[in-house]
Amino acid sequence: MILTIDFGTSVTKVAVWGDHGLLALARAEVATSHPQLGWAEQDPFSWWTSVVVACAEARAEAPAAFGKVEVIGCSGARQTFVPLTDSAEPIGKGIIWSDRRAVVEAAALTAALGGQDAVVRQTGVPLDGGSVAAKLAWLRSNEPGRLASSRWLLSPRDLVVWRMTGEVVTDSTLASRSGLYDLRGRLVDLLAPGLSHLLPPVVAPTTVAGALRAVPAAELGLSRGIPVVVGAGDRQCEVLGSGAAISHPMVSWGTTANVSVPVHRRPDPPPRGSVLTRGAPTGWVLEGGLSAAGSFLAWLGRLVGRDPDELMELAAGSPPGARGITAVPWLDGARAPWWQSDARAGFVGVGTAHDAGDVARAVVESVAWDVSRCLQLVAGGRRGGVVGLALGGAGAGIGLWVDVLTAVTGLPAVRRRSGEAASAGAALLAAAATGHPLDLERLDPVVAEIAPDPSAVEAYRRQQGSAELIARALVALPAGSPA
Amino acid sequence: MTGAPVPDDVGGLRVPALLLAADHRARGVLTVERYDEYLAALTAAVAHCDGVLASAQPLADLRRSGALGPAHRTYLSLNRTGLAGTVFELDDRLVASVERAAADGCSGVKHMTRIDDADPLTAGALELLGRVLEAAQAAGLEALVEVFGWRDRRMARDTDSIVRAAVIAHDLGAPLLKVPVPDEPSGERRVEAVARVVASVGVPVLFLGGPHSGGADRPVLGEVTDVMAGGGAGMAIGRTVFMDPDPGAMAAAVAGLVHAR
Repeated sequence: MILTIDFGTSVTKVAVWGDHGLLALARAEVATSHPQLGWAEQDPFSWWTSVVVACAEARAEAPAAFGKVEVIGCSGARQTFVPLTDSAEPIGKGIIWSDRRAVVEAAALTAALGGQDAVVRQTGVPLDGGSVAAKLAWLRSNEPGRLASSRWLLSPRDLVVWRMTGEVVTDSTLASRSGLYDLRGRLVDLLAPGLSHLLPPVVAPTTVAGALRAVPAAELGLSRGIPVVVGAGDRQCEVLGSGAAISHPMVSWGTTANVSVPVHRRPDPPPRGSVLTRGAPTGWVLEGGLSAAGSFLAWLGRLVGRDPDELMELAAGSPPGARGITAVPWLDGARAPWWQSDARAGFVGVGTAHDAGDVARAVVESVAWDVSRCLQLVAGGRRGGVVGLALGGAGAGIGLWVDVLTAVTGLPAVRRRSGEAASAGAALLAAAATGHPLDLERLDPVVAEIAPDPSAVEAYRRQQGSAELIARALVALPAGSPA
Repeated sequence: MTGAPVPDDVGGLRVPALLLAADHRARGVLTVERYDEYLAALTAAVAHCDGVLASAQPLADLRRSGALGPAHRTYLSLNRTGLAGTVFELDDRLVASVERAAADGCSGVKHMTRIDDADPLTAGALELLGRVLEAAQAAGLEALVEVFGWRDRRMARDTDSIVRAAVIAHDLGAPLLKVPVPDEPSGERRVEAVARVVASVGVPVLFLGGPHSGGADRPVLGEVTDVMAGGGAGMAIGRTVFMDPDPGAMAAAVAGLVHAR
């Protein structure tokens, strides 16, 4: 039995896996506070307590399997970190990836490194207000005491692994997504000047960080001494656990959308507009992180007084093309493949006859169009080599999203049984690390291949030209000033 | 935070702390009926707790069996005549004495006070609390005071009632309090309510677990998380732990949350 801990942004998931799949899944919420506009912080203690709570739930759900757990594997949220003392006391709140406090610092660092293209060539990861390097610069200017008194800068996963094993490590995928390291794994001094001693040692995702110590073992209800495998970043785990390949990029619909493919050889230079990070267990991952997806629908839902599930139902009642509405999903800036942070979302072609279902469908379609553009990007122009999509994120279980996605891209999509790709990936890494490699097809088999609906494919093929025209026109528009 | 610093320990009890509550049966709340099963559950749970508050018999048996180590704090439950659901529930008199607790080597006493604005017996209950506090202080024992409002024959779990009860017991001299978790939605609102209760007094406040939910979910763990985030000094939990299918694991999980900070 394998126990996986998946640190998401707002929820920690604990899953128990047997040789033939998922046996228990429990979730515990982690609250995010926004003390100032653009800030996003979490209580670092809640990273640990969410694991304790989720383990207790998983134990109650499947007590027999839980009692036989032999190894722990992890999947970790990326870019989130907190400064800590040498006794693991957090110094202030954790700063999460979506915190945008360091926009000014990011611009200065980007300029110092010779512009965004140079940054991406060096680290694989664009610098923006969410980058770890920019936030370190912000801390240095605004709260220097927090850095001065810290011994470590750790992600939620790394802090919990420390608590479980007494060992301080991070893995190569989380390190590479921090953007602090160059593509050969060397720290870029300019990005963390004088702070290298605060960064944890970097190990491979299939490394056993240590043995579970007695006190945390009791608190989690697990056997003391079982190996804790460090695992990888959530996206890398998701890519692994979704069964993605160059021929089957992973498309994930969550708060935002994401298109990712594992590649064996590092593309040099990385394709413009993509993020290049180390993969798990080895290799590289090319990522297109899109703009708002679920959050765009949630925003619309708040306006019209419906929850996103209801909107999805209404959207299913509108035909392909949303009866003439075309949208772009750049709610807080256009990310991959555009990278135009001052672009904004928009709707074109709205008339009095349209209803909430049409607008909601246009939202879903707008994300699918951007996914289609990103496929071009991460497939390195070899779009012809892509024969299908591996579904990730909550969207794997949303019928309308999958229908629209397959029709817009003209590609079939593969859904796996658990719907928990990141946890499945962490389980595969844990199994490999302890010398009992598992096969994804046994652990989490494909349960459906959803083929595109030919008539919808044809409808979107006719719409493609105008959708492209509208997106290109809107991305070039100067942004209005926010109130 | 402003105001006087709250002591981080009371006598020998280091906070944050998790205490196991084992005095329900004496109040006629039968929970686990078979005594051997009850003792086995308490034994499994208390290994992960910092101490136990119990009526005379379970306390004696836990001590005799070796379930309690030298680091465990022990609190003898003093008043239990207010049997659950009876017409004399508010008439909660002493069934054990501070002197007995001292002679038995307990580290403290536990006393429960209910405040019902509509019941004249409340006046006597407060007088009794004052006498217990004096006796405990004279004997050098820790006094853990469980206090809450009582309305329509039920515990009042609204934050105003909890604050009022805590303030009364605190200002009478209670050095360690045990109060209900405020009945607020989980998360930020409950954390704020806990913080309000904690800020209303100058001594550590433990929160009580309440009855076992009976289901497979563990709502008490969310309560513990919010209590600790709100500055609570820990938990005093009984039924939700010893009625769990795995009392040891449940107690350890709660301990993990209490001692996370």
